[in-house]
Amino acid sequence: MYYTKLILVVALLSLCTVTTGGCWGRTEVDDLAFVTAIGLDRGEDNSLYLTLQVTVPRAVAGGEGGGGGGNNNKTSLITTMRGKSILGLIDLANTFIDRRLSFVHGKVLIIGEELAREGLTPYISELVRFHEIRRTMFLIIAKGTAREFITKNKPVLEQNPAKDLEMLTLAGEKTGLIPTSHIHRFLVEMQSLGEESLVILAGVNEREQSKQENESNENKYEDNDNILHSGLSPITKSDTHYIAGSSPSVGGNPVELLGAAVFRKDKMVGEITGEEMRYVLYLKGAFKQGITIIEDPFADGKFIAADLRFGRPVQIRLTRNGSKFHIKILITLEGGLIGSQGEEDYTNPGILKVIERQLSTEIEKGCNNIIEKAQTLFLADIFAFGNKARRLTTTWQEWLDLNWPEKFPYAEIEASVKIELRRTGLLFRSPQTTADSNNP
Amino acid sequence: MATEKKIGIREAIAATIYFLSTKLLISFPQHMAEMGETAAWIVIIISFITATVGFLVVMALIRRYPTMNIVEASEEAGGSVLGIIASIGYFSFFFATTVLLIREFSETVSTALLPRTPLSVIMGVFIISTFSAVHMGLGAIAGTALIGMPLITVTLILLNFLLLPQSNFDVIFPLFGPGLRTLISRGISHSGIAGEILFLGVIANNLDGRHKMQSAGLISLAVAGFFMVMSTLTYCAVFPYPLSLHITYPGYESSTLIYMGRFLQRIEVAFVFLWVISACIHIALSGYTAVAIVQNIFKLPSYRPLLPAFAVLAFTFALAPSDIPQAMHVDFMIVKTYGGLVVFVMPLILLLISRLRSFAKADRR
Amino acid sequence: MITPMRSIPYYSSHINESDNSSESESGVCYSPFYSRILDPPRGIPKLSDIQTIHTSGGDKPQMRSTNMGPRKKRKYSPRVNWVLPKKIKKSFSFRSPSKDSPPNGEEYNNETTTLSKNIDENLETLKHILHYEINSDVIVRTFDIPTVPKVKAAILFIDGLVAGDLINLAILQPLMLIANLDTSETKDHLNQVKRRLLPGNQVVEQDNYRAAIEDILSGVTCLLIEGYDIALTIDTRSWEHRSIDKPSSEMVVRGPQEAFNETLKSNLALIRRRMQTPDLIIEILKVGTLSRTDCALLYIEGLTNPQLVREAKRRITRTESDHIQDTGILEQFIEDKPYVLAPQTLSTERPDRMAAFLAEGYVGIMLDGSPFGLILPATFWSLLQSAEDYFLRWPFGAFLRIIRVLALVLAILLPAIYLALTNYHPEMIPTDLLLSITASRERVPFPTIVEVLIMELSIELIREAGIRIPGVIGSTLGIVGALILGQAAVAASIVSPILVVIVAITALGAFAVPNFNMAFAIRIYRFIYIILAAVLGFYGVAIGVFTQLMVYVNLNSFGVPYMSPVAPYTKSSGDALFRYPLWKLEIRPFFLKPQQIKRQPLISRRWSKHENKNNKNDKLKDNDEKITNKMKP
Repeated sequence: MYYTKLILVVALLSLCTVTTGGCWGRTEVDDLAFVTAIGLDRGEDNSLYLTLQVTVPRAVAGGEGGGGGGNNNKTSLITTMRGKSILGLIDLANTFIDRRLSFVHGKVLIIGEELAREGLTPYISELVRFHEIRRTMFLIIAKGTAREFITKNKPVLEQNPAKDLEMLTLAGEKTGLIPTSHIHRFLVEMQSLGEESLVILAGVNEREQSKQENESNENKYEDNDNILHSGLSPITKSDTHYIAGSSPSVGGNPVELLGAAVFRKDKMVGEITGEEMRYVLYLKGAFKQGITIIEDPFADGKFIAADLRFGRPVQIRLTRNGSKFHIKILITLEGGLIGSQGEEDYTNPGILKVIERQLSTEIEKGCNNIIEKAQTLFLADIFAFGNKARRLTTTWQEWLDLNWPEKFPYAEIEASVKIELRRTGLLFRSPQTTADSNNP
Repeated sequence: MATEKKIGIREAIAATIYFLSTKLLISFPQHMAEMGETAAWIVIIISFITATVGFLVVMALIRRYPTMNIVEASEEAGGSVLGIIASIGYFSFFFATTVLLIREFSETVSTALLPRTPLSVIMGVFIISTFSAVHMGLGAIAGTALIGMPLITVTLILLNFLLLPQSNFDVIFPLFGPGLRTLISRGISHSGIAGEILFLGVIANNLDGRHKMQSAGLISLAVAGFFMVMSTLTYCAVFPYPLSLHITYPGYESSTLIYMGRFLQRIEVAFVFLWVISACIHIALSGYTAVAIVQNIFKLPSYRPLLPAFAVLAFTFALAPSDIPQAMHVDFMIVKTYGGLVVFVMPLILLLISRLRSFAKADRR
Repeated sequence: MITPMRSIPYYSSHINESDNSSESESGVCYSPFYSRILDPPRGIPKLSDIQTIHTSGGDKPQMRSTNMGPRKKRKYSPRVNWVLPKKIKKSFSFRSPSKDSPPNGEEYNNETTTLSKNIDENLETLKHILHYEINSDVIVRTFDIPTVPKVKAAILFIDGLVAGDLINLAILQPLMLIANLDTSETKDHLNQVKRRLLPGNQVVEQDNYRAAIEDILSGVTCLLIEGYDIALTIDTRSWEHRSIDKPSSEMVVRGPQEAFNETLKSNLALIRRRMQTPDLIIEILKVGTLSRTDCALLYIEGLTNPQLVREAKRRITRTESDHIQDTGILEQFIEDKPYVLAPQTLSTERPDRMAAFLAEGYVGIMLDGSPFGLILPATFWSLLQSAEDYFLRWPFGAFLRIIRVLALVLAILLPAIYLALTNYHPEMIPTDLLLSITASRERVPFPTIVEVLIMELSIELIREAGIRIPGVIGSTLGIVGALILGQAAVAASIVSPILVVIVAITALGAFAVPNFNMAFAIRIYRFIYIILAAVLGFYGVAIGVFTQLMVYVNLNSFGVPYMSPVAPYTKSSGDALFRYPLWKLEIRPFFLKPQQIKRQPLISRRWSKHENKNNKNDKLKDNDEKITNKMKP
């Protein structure tokens, strides 16, 4: 009896709590507005522009209007506010956004170039202390302003703009043209003596912009031709040697993530292109996979494409000679040819060797160039060689006394590349048009 | 006095491992980073080795009195005054552990799971559930620990594994952080981080197979030490040294960093969910140990009538630190630093006294 | 006449006095009819008789027995209702049954009245006890045995419980027709009849009314002969019953397809057939003061832990209730903690399962009229096992077990987790899913907790209604109802579609749990967890899991920890969460403390290559012995 009554009382009490107390932070998902991208720009008078991209669930989830290619605008709400602190503006935003802002699904933090050059410490510190902000959000530096990037971002394949941004940032793993830059990584590198940050560089492709404007006014076909013949950016020798916003392309989403912003501590000091980014990844040993092209050593103006990955972890030997540091890096790549414009017969073993040599000198040159650039232009150890230098010391004080950022520009760094091509794709011999090579 | 059901040796090991390693889930790694800088994990190794020696001392003391637990043995060895002082020392250690873990874990829950729920509610729920567990007795708690063993093992190993992409093992260098000598002295003085091993001494009479106590203790120390070293190492690799000082809730913060592609991310809530269970087991165990010591000091037939008073006391003390930094300061700067003195040095003194006495007796004869 | 009013002070005071004499109290008057034996057939009941009656426990059936007779009928005396609670309280606090006191069954036999030599008196008494005048199915047939001189005889039986042909052919015919052929010299008619004239295969001599009446009520024909104070009871039992059917709640694909039915005899035969050892003991106890149901206690002598048997027997015989109809009722009287939701006995309708458990050292209980047997003690893991686990090859069995554990966790926690996720931790949900949940919830006017409760309650409703709807349409209607209801509820924006998925998975999970009782417990636990999740999110759920674990670990079923063999750890074949290959199940579960721990040798596949190597064989033998020695409880 006693127990039954007790149970009844407890049950009643708990039912009361459940029904009456909408208490203690219980919020329904449809009372929340999920911010997926945060943009920061420098405003006038030392103020801050905060741009928020809030996803509209109804539009993204599909619901009624299935094919909404043109309705991209409606999948998210973009708003910009001006103020002094980021978190202070959240409440302001709730005066015109009816749902409570929630940052738990934030995907990217986009920072305008101007602000990045001034230094990011105050803003990053403010954000990472807040429990809704995730350290795994991606950090992106936008050429131009963050607001422009967010508003111009019009994904075509994705309904959900957040997914689009996340997919683009993750594509870096496949191409090696952008770094992986979580806020956490930036925070670590910002405070570390042994390495400097590289952050994804984003930009709006202006050519694309003009194309879209034209599209609405005049005849498309003629205009497209005009663009193809005159409008695209000039090409470089390696097809990836561009920074965001300047790639020779047309159509699709006008924003692109390509290359990286180089930081010294929390200040942006320069930019590197996609190709250079890949060399940095080779040197860091963080390269996953990517397609590299070189000019065919046997035929001028013809190119060979190889799919490369690490054959063996990068070996970095760092030695100290007084105050002088010597760093020797051995990069071992392996992979296969996946395309060739030339007419070689790859059953001849010598030919692959020649191509390997060509590839390795090419990559070696690239690596040494970017090293030189880092040592002279950026004065930033973006390769994390400093972390290897930590092993030379035994105590923290020794490491502080070493003062690696000072030493890095004077270090002697030497990268050598070894390449082994294991396979030649689907063809042994290339298609011949010039002569009857079969009948000698 | 042994009104309790006896527990098996496996349960005892599981309970001790829980007891030792649940600290990982609160700010323990951060504090270790403060002690050891880049070499936080070495501090733990040294502390655990020291604690192992301390445990052997405790065992030597207990072995002299084969039917007694540590409280009774202390009284027998040191006389009533010294014995009771020692017992009050043990009690304070376990009581402080209970209270501080309640506070710190409630704060973790408050930050990670329920930011808008009042702390007193979270803490109250903790205390009610854990003290009703204490009421059920050692058998129930230790049994739950045994069932929950895979839980903490899997979560800790999984956490460390999932954090591999985020960790950079270059940054654990310079290997000796503040210097080897500092490391050793700090490690020894922090042997209190494994002071909970005394739990085995308190439950000595409830152990089914008392002769296996020493091996149980050593196994627990080894396993828990492995967990702690592994987790702290990962922590130092994920949050390189200066950063490792900044984090309030290292376990939680590390789990937020898990990012294995678009699907496997943001899973920290699942970890905290499992950790709440682990923390409950820890609090129940330390609460039990504390009341069992009181029961033994006053030679009460049962500890159960003490529980309501004890729960209220724990609740009050847990709310006493005004803020979380203060609670952590008390925990690490006082309890874990001087805890070693109480749980290991005190038995050593008692052991020496008891040896001397028996020598004296032998001489007289 | 004693009026109810007058009797109150007297009886209650008397009961207070008699509390100490627990020995006599349970013995005297267990059954309704017995009290009447002490009464003379006609006349006012003596005070002393009533005293005896009330000493025995003073509950309704006994009252009724005194009151209803051929004489005046008396109404129920209201004192019963007040004395009862006090009485029970007393008996709770003071009665500590000593282990060596014999079970109740024997106690009351000592007190029975023996038959007299006068057949008329015997008949009269029996008729009186059986309410012959008003009971329509009591048949008394008097006849003469045509010896010289004639001997008066009579048979008594209950119509419907006996085979009429059998009585005609095997009792009346020989006695009335053939008896005269035999003009024997001996005067011992009884022996004559028993040895030569009754072709029935079970003939027992009873010398007291009690035994005779019990036999008659169980369908046996009772033969009285003039001049003897012995009644011969001849087994003529035969009644309408269901034939052996397929199991309805514990179906398997591979394995035996027979289930218990309501007849104890055939149920016991089913078990006996699967376990042809003389050591299988089937003890019959009687439960229920009014129903006097046969309760069979099954165990294996020399294997089952005698303490366990004693404890089971003690609990059954010390259960005082009028009407124990089914093992479902008995279960509630003998389980350890009625306030814990978890089922503490294992019920099964499969004879093969019962036999398998008996072989492991468990104790079985069968009740006449109940198609479910009880297995004691139950452990948490045994409630998640199904007979099929063993009939399938081990990887399949193990896979099924893992699926079932998953089902259990889903059934208990899924709605709570959904609630905690959407209400407290939306960050855990993948972004795309979250957006679609949000979009679908936008038109739902209720908070998620109300949504979840609506859906959970309606699925419970469908389940319950599905059982009540008569006939075959029941299940169909249930499914159709669920589908249509779900679809319509989504269309009407009462619930969001994902919730329908969640609730459906939850219901499936509960169905996948093989034990019906466990499935029930799960359904209730689910609501507790929903409330916890609504109030405290994941924290509440975690605290709930911790508390539930703690309660389960603390729970004992007949002295065996509920979570054995996992916690506390005891030696076993590891046949709990996972199922190992059968040849590896070398020992019986240690937590039952069986008298023989070894169930098969270390190498049970003796034909394998080990056999040929002599030295290895010796080693095996050594090993076997080692196991046996080590495992001795």
